[in-house]
Amino acid sequence: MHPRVAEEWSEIASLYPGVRHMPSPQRVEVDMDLEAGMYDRPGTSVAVLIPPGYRATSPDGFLVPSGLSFADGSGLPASDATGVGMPGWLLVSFHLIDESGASAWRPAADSHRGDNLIGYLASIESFLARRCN
Amino acid sequence: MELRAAATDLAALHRRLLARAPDEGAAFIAAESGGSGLLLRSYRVFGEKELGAASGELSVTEEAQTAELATLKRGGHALVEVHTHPGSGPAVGFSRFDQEQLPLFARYVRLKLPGRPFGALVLSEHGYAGRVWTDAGVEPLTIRAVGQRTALPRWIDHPGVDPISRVDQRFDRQIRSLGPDGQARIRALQVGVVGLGGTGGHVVQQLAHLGVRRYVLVEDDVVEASNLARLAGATRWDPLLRRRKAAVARRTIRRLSPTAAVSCPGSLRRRAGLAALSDVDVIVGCVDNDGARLVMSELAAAHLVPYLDIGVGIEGEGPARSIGGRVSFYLPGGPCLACADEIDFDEVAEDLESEALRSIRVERGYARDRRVEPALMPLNGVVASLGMMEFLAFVTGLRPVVPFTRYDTMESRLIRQSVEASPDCVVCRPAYGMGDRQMVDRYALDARS
Repeated sequence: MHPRVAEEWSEIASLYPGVRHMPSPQRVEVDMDLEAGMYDRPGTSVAVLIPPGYRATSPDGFLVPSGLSFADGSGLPASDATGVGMPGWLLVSFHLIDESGASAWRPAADSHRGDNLIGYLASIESFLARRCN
Repeated sequence: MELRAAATDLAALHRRLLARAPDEGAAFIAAESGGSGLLLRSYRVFGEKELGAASGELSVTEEAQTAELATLKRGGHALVEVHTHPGSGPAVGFSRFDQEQLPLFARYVRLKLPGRPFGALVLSEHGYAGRVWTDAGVEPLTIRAVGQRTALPRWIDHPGVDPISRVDQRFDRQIRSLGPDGQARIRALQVGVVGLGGTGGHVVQQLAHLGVRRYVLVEDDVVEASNLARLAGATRWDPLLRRRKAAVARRTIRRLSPTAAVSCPGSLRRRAGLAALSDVDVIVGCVDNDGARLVMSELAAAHLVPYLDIGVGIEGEGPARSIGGRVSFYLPGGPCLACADEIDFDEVAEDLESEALRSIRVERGYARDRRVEPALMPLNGVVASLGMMEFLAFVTGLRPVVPFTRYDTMESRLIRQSVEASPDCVVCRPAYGMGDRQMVDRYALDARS
């Protein structure tokens, strides 16, 4: 496991009890509940690819299983993820950036004091709850 | 076995332990495996209340020992026990009490910290002795200090004078400048050079002239026609033959030193390249991207390898044009490139991402263009030479290394920068002394299946 993810693992596991670590491509998968009536299902798996430079560099986007759509049948802002080694998944466009387009990711040596995976997963939950806006 | 440690850590540990002289002092080092040796990650000096005397000899109280072993176990570290014998001189050795007790303590510690070696060091004002217990048995433990040559404590700084250099006419003028010890230190080094383009070509040429005998050359590009205007050592045939830049650099070295040991493990993004670099005496980075700088910064911190980074840049247009370069020297325990805010993490993310992710970002229209950088051979030469002067300062102790210097061509001046190590650095702090557990090989593209 990526050493920075290993530092955060017990905390991630306490918030997302079913969390899985998958090695290829290196990623963390959790189960999230979805807003009632907003999507075509009540919950989904979410995968976050861990870049090799994590925590210095932020994860970029996240993945959901192919087929997840809004309740009205429209699709998420996403591309097929087969090319990144995740067939059957969609890569959702989601970036932590400021108004100028620069990364808003502010990590620290100590994962508790800067941005980390838990914060990233919380941002994804919030993004999904806002209908990906 | 060797314990690699930052000179600053060693000097501080030595000073604090011997501050108790004529009484003995004791400390526990948290160590990590790195390559075939150990790395000093951190240490704890025991205070007055944690020390006792058993049979008239210094001992650490059981309570302090238990607490510290629990901390080491949680952190996944190995233990190196250190104590002092003040007044013993350079021929310090383990006492009869140590000889009796250390094997028993080694057995106890290795039960508490299974699978990890246990080391013991005894220090005096002028020397040390060491021993390490592993699954394979007991062997001597030596210390390899890395850092400012001028700051190395005398008890650890052995030049290993090479008699051949003294009589070799080739290095006569250099020996008159640096002394025979300086020349011997250059000859004994193994240097990793990453990036063998415009600046790396100059660096290799100078290292070969200086008398470096062992190289790890990390680069997998081939020579192109557009490289001929700046690639030191290249010939007009090299692009036609699609010769690798590493082969050109090796040719430069071998023309001066036919028996030099030159290893070419491929690119920085290969496991072989990363593994080879983790054990060199110094890395010289001559790359043009921050992704590679992040990888080298992290590897250098994890394996306590000094890392000299040489970069040039030509930016802007007209009167706003800036032409210059930067020399940065990470000495373990000191500030790294990220502490100095010299790494753009957005650029790193792009440099290190997979081609598949990049193509998705290009498709979505938010990938930055990879522009062809302008270049000038004299600029590369000036900045590479600045870097080589810091290299000489590091190797020979000619003067203290100046870790961060900028060269402004337009103003024709050198600017010395003052940078402090950041306690919150996301690159060097978590990686420091973590050795193999830092898993730097995750950056290798051949590690991904």
